[in-house]
This record gives sequence, structure tokens and C-alpha cells, in this order.
Amino acid sequence: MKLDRESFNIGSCIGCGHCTFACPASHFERNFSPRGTAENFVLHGMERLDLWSCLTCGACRTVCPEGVEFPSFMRAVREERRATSIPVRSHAGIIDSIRSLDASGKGIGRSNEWVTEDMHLEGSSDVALFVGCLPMLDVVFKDLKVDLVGILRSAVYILNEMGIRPRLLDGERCCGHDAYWLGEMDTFDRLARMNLDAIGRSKVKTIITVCPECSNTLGQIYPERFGDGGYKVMHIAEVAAKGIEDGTLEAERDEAVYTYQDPCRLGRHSGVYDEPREIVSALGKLKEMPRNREMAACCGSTCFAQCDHIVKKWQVARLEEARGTGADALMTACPKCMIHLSCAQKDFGTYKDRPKIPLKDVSVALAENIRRRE
Amino acid sequence: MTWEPTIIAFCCNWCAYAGADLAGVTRLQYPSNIKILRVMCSGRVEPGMVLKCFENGADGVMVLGCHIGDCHYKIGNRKAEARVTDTKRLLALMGISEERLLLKWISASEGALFAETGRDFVERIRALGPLKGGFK
Repeated sequence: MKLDRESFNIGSCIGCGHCTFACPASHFERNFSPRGTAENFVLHGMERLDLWSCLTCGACRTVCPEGVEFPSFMRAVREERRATSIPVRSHAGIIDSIRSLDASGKGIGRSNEWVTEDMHLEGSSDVALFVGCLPMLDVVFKDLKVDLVGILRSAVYILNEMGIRPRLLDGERCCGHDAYWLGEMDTFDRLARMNLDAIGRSKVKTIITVCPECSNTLGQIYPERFGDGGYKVMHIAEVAAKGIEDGTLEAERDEAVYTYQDPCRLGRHSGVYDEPREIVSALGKLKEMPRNREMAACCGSTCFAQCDHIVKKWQVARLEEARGTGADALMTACPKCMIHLSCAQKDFGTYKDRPKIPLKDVSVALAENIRRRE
Repeated sequence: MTWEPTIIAFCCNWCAYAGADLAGVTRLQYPSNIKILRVMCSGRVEPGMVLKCFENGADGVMVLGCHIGDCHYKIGNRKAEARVTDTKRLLALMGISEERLLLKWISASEGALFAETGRDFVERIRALGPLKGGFK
């Protein structure tokens, strides 16, 4: 596809600058703003655009009065400029290597060594749990001490409590979220085909994910690109909120105050704002941060690309914001938010006024709460 | 044409690479399947590099360094040990046999050990067969 003024409504930008004010990147990045990028593209083409400062979090799209699809535009420019421009790859490229090794089709699929004996899984179930890359990221980020596998275990526990026995997909691969947003379309297409094959083989009706990136990619981007696959995708927070509503899950409220970080893929990209909040409110008192819901600030990195000192600054600003609410813990529904925010806490851990606040995943907190009463 | 395994050997500059050199100088026979990559220290070999090898057609990867306590950079091979342990876990999680990754300490004077390790590893990979895809 050739990009021009008509693509993604970019030419209809009226230069109001709402996007630049909403964009977390342009608050700290001197040479990047969504408005400036759009204007530059319209006037001079894509030659000198900054491709990697944008996090595709979608805050700009939410406030845009003219309907400019800036995140999708950024993705398309990246796809076009693939040959000449690559992002700074953090963590020595291990995340990219895992993705491309998965895309090469080698290996016989996931080994599910995180599954413990007290979990009830059923091979013939029409509900599948999409594991994603969490077991691998748990190894990669072991020094952060974020229990990513614990999120998966809690999800299975919650589903079992609700009477759902999920299955795991044979031949599941990385969902390809990062490949898609970084413009690596051949990698993405290969991964998507393998996952769609796995879903088709197993004939599941519902797929439950623990990571909003997976739920957004499987639920919205696959159907957009390959047509409807005949399955429904839900994030674990949506399932659990339903369980709390109809009484199958009973959480006990305590005195604790929690604040909630909206993951961009769950909130702005998928429109799920209330369900995780229902869970948090069932566990304790919810106190909102100043920037919440549609205007929530990003956790600082998507696709593990271009993580640098500038990103750290706004992560710390976000953590300060969370601490400013006086909450006991910061809840989130996204494992990637957990990784990025704990990384910021770790790096700034030597500072005297370090932005320390306990981080918790909503499903882990809910599972702990239910377990405590047993 | 019959299939031949492709083996990548990361050799540390100070011990294993010199060991490979010695194996060559003393005319010890070892299979030509082994492609040697010299790194300054075995601790340099990141999980990402090993995964890249498997992605691009390697059937087995060896990480060879100095004996523990003999590292030119004092603790580089300790780091290599930790990294290879992590990489093995990653490979197992992705459905690739841990057997395809080998960590071994070979000093500069152990040319014979290098040739022997190479022969054994090639045989082991030959028994495992080519790195295949698919699902369980």
C-alpha cells in the first residue's frame, strides 16, 4: 500500500495540537509530536520522520477531532521504511529472537511446564487459554522478580473457580503483536497463520488471554487481516468481572486502597475500562489517578523497542502519579505494564525518593483473595 | 543428498579457540560440520544469539570457554554458565530439545578434547535429527 495524504485520514489534520498534549512521548521527547509528524508527512513525505518514539498507545486518536488514525499510520510508515530504519532493540534482541524463532516454525510448540497439578485443564474443552510469551518472558525478566507465570496460574485458578476447565492450544505460537506494530509483516503473517491453524484444529469457541496484547491481536487484528475466524476472544479481567457480577466468584473487600493503570491495548484499543475496575472495587477501595480511563498514560514501552532514558522519565512520572493517590498498590491488567513499571522501579531503586509502590496484577490479586478464605 | 547437521561453536578467544587451533595444528580429525565463531569471552554469548542460530538453520550450538577459575576476565565463564542455563530453559519452553545446546570448558592445551567434543556432539545431533517444526 502506498501511503499518501488520504491514508488513515492523515491529510485531514487541522493542526489543533490536542494529540501532542495527550501524547506521553511528546511530553518528554524534544523532537517528537504526533501533530508535527503528521504535518511533516503531509508537507515533506516520510523521509525524515521519527518512527520509533511513538508507542502506538492511541491517546492521540482518542482526542483527535478529525479521526486521524495516527497509531495505524505510524505502523504503516514503519512497514514501508522497514529496510532502512530499525528501532533500538532493548534486552539484546532476545525478545525479537524469540519471536522470529517462533515464526520460523521450528520447535514442536510450547512446553507447558508452568502447569501445576492442582489445575484443572480439559483437552476437549471449547474454551482455550492463550498462554502467549509469558513463560519465556518469565525467564528473560527473572531479575525483575515479576511472577509472570503466577499470572497464568491465577487465571487458570479463577477459571476453575468459575467452573470453566480451559484447554491449551497445541502448536500455539507468539501472537505476533510486536511484529505487527513494528511493521514486520512477513513475521506477523507467518505467526498469525500458525495460530489460526492451531485455533482451527482445536475448534474452540472462546479464547481467553491473560495479556491484553494477545487479546487485541487475536480479537481485532487477525479478523481485520484474515477474516473472521469464528472464535471470540476475552481478556481474563472480562471473564472474572462477569463471575463477580453473577456471584460465581466471591471476593472479600478489605480496607486497602488501590489505584488502576489502564493498559493501552485493553483500554483504548479494545474498549475495556469498567471490567478490571469492577474487580479492583470488589477487592478494596479504588482511587483513580488523575490521568485515567481514555486518557491513561502509557507504561512506557511497546514491543520492547526504543526503551531509553526518556522513556524512564515518564515511567517514573507515572509511578509518582500512582503514589500521589495515596494508594497501597498499583493494579494493572497487563503483564507488560508490570514488566515495564517494575523495571523503572528497579533502575531508580537507588534514589532516595524512589518511586516505590507495590505493583499487582488484577487476576493475581483476585486469586489470592479467593484463596485466602479457603 | 543426505542431511548433514550444521553446528555452530562459539569459542572464547583465550581458551577454546586456541584449543581448536591446537587441534588443527596437531592434525586431529574432527567433523567439518562445526562452524567456529570466535567471541572474546564465552560470557558474551547471549540467549538471543543462540536462538538466532537455531532460527537461521543451525541444528546444534556449542558454547566453549575456559575452565572455571581460568577465565581471562575472571568471572566471564560463570556468566556463560548462568546464561546457558537460561537459554536451555527458553529452548525447552519453545519446544526445542535442550540437548541441542552444549556448554563445555576447553583450555588452550586441550586440542584433543576439542576434537573429541566436536565428534561426540555431531554424533548426538545426528541422532536427534534435523531441527524440525510442527506441533505435538
